[in-house]
Amino acid sequence: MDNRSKKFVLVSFCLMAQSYQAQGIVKYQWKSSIKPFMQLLLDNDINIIQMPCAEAEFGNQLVREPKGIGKYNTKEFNEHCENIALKVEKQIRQILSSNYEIIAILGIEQSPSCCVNYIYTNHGWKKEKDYLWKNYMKR
Amino acid sequence: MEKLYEKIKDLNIPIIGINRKYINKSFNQLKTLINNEVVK
Repeated sequence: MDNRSKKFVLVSFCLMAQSYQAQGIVKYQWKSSIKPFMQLLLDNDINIIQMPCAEAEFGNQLVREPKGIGKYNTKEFNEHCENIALKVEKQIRQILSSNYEIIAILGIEQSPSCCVNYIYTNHGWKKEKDYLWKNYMKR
Repeated sequence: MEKLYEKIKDLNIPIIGINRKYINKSFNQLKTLINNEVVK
């Protein structure tokens, strides 16, 4: 008998690996994975997919200084993100077409590439889009 | 994330933002979704 879970959650790379964050911003109690989320997913037998880290992959910069969206907003970085988004989209559609479920996608606020509502600008936090979660809840 | 959202918005997958300093809100959102799935 096949005992697999058919539930998935996609997570930002650094949710499972805080060391992929830019230097100086791993300030809270989680030194590697953000444990409460990971534990919740493990306890519920949910498959975890780690999405690529756009910033670390760009120019091979695993060790890098924090930069706001203004510094990342270049043609090259946007193309790089577009390619990652296309790959993740393909993976998502493959999962769904295989009759598996995706429960959620988890991003990290204040990240220039993975934020959902709040983005870092080098001039403090700026509220960005707010529609991702709210649109879902309106369904 | 916005680029990804634009590509998959037809799928209505909830996207949750985690604030590492204040995780409760996003943690509860995820828990709600998981519990709803379990009830289904």
